[in-house]
Amino acid sequence: VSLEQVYRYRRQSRVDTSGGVDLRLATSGGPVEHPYFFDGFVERAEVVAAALLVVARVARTRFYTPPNMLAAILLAADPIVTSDGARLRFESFSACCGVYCRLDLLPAGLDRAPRATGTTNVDFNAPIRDALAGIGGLDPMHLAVGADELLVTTLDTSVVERRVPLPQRWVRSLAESHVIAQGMSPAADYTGVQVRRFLQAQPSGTQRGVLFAVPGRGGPRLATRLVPGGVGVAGLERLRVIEPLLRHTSSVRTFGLDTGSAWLLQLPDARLTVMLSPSPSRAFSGEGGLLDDIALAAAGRAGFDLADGTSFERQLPLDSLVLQADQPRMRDAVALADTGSVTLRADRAVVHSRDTDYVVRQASDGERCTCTWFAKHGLSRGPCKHILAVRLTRGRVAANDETG
Amino acid sequence: MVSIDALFVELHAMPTDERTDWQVMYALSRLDARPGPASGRAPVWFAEAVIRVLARLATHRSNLPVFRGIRSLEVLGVLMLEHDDAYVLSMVSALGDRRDPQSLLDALRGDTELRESLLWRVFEVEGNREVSLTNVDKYCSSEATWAECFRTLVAEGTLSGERVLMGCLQALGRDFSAYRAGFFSRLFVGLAPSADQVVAGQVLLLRLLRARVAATVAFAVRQLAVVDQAGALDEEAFVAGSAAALMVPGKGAPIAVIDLAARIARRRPELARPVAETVALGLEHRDREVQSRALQLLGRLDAGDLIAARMDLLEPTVARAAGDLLGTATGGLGLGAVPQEQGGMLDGCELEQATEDRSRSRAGDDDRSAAERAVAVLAGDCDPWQIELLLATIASGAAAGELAALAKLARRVLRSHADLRRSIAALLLAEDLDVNRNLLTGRLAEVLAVTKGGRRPGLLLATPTDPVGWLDPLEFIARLSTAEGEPAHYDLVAALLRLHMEGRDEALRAARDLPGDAGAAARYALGGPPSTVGNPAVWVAAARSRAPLEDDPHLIAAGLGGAGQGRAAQFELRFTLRSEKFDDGGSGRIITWKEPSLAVGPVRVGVAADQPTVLASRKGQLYSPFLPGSEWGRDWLPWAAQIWPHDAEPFFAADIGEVMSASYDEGRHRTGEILDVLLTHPGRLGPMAATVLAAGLTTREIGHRARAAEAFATLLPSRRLDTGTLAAAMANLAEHATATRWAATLGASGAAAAVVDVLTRLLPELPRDYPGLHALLSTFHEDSVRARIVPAGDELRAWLTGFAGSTKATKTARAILAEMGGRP
Repeated sequence: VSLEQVYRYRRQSRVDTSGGVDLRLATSGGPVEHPYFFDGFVERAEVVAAALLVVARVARTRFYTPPNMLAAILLAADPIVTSDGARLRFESFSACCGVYCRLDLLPAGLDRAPRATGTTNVDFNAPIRDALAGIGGLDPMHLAVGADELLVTTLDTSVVERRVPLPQRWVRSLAESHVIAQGMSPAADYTGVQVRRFLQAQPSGTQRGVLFAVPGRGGPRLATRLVPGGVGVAGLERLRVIEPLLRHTSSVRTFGLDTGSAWLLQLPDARLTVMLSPSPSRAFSGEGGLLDDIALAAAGRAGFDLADGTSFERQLPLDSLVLQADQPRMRDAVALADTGSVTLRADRAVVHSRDTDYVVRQASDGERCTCTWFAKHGLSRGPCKHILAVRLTRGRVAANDETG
Repeated sequence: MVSIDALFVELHAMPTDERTDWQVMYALSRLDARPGPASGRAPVWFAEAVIRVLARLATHRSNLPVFRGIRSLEVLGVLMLEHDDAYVLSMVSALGDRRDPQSLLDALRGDTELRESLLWRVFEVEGNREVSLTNVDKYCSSEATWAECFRTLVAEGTLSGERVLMGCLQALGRDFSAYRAGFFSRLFVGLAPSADQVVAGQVLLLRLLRARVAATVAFAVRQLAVVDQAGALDEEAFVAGSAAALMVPGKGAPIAVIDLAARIARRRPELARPVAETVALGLEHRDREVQSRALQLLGRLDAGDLIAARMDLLEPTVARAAGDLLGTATGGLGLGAVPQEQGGMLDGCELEQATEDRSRSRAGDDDRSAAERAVAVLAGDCDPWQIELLLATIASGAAAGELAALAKLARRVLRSHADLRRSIAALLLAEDLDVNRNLLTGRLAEVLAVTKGGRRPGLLLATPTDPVGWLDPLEFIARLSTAEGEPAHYDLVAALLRLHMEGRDEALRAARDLPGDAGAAARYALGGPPSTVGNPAVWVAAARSRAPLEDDPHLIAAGLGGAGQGRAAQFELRFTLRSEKFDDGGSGRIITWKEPSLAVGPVRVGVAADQPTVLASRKGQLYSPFLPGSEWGRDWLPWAAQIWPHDAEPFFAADIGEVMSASYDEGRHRTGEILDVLLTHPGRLGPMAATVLAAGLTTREIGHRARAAEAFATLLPSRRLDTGTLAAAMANLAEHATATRWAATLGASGAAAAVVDVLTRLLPELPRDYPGLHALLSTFHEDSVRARIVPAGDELRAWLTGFAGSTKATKTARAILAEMGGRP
């Protein structure tokens, strides 16, 4: 299900390279209609330009196309930028919602603190990307995220409006990425050279199934089974987005959860995180991490920084309808609980759904269910709707008992 | 061809619902090449339709020159169109006819605004999967391409050559994909620019050294070499900007950069240090030749500090040369030097753990309830252990009520799937199986008889007592003793084939009084005395269990002397040169191919569903390098691999064709499961297993090669698979294999000592002009240094000595000879 997100930029983003690099990113939505977060210099124009290009590339790439999809029905959602008053975080999601990318420009790389806090969309148009591709050298780059209201009135202010059908799963994916990142465990550290060699050693083309990047002599190597220090890399071609940045990368730390992984690149005064879903065909939205904590299922209002293991706040600058996207599994579970389809017994619960009884029981490694979803995924993608319905019902019973 | 007025009349006359965009496109394609003015304005619906047509042309290639008509209407003022990206891509898509070169040329020659202004936007708009200069040209005749059009118009002076050349360089600097960027580098080269024209593009070319597309970087380096030859290279800028070019995947561009940097350092000694700092990045490249070339230059530039800082990144032979250069006693072996006996990809106890891990069920799965297990199998879980436990539950009649609750799911699976789970669903629903009869489906049918009430519920004999498929002999005898009536035939055969070698004596004693043919066969299988051969399949299974890899005189004497029956089967993959002459219109061509076939010996007999150790010979299809595989579907394979735990040969022999095919075709869906069996099968791995591994090492898909590399690194050092057997299998497959893939996969295995061992035997079997031989020689050389093994062997020495000329293979052969202490 898609909902329309309207991006309204006061003007197109622009870059001027005639006298140094001057990048002016237009903003849309957030704390105000056109936020003005930053106006200063960032270190290493070449590195920042290459990293921004990676963020933009992820945003406009569909790494997986369902077999029955005749055309790319989903346009690229624009990247978002969050300012916490100390650093700038540029985030993007692939059109297939299976790859998440974030560039953190750290305080040491900014010549001044951001002038405001919040989250907004930024315009990365084709000319901007073309210009960024040509930027080189070690000099700082002037970066403006948003523009001064007074200045804008003196410039060309032709409004740019784009309407993008944004699927609910895009928002859910953004929300899930926080929970998934929180659950990831650090796996191994490599140098940028090692990871570059690893990627360059693999033949091009699409990789089917799940493989693992595990520590080997002189860097990661591909394996078919997980060993300590390894992480899953389903769809290795998705990881190639980081390749242009590896020559600027001092270290790469990997994190793993299930067959998904995150790759954290340490750049000069910046960090880039790329997170891959457990399978190219699996968007983050379906991972169901939020189902374990319903209170968190609120429209991706938190992100997670793997580098220091902390959350950061963001209020997505999206239309309210888009933000109301909820989890279909939770919706179904609530319906089952509401209709009295759950029968609680001492050692098990039976959920009656569509003429079938599903048995939910507690085992040593967690709850189990006799549905096919559970048989395929266990609890790795969050609980199935029957387990959720049992949890909800038990919760209600307990609440009733308390209230007397 | 029609006039504008006629076009409007024609379209207007159509019923509104038939006036589709397709009709508008077709009408536009038939508009006069130079139409006269229209007598009136275009209808509103027409202008809207043209906007839709432009949007479509921008994303779909057109076979018709539709854009020409649109442009004519625009020039005449009939239409007012925005010149946005869709307009530009529509022009790329449909300005010319894809078979008629003249149409594109005429459209540009006759339209000044298009030629002078709008045309140049094609250098700015990347396009998409369907519509780009690259892709449109791909589907045009060679004379009607955009590239040919540009060349013609530049040659005749209609377009400025300088402007086109600069346009190409600017386009290459944009963030275009490799496929779409390729058009511009090819066009630049195709225009054969003079040295002055290339020099004029130097600033842009230097920028391209940082391009994301490796081919663009290589192009830039080649052109900058032209600039250098013209004496116009901005040397400081090149040295400062070429770092990125040393990191592209191929070796051509980095080597060219190093060579150019060497020339700069020679004529500009004051730039020696910056040159060295840049070239040192070449040591970080994964290709040995790049590293070697960089090392040579760094040595000349006296940049030992830069080399020392990167010693651990060097390939072994380069590291050794670097050590010599630096005068270090270590002569560091660089990347991943390993002692000779150490394993490869999986180290230490991981080697042994791998087989066990692969064969075990997922943690916690064994305490599944019957319904949970059944749902897992219906959902696609192909773990043989889970399937066996489920069959045992169904056959025992326990949990019948629990399983009955799954009827709806089973019916859905029965409708929607065609694999193993479909048979399990049929079993749960007590419906007949519509599958070919073999040992496994025979067993399913026997369990089905229980669910249908035709047999009494009870224990299955063949349920393994070990997840890898073995059956404890004593447990087998206990089950057989308590069985009521005659045991089920397929169940008995399956159980006999699975009997473990340990515990047979005790089991034989316990089987002393077992009655009937089954009892006699069981005792014979356990090493007991021969007796009258009853049911042939039961006795074949007993014989193959008693002495799995040896001939059985008792069965031979009883007339069951076929391969896989009384005689141990021998399998051989053969290639026969075939040729065929066919008439292609008079000239007559002869095609030749190597037809693979699987020969089964020593005595062939017909196959039977209850004799899985017997295999049929098979041949490739006509004109095809493909050998038919087995009938096991992908999800049946893990279970099928456990039929005879003593010997993996029949299993691998049946599916060699599948793994061989995976070298050509990425769509081989069973190859991964077959390769997995190399690590899970507990029995003998012989020539057929070696052949499957040899074929797996040269497969096309990355995941298959990773599996093969792991199998190599696990099986060879642990001697589960014999080195000589694998080398012989590789030699047999040499014409089928891609040597560079073999080299890469062997190198990636990390089992350097095993690689040296195998290649020591394989290389002398290969012709010296074997395609890709250099890669194998190079891997051999690097791994021998890495594992600190001095290559040895008279055959190898003689073979290496026979190289002549100055090819890369010859140079590497001489280097290896030098390692052997021979005359280089």
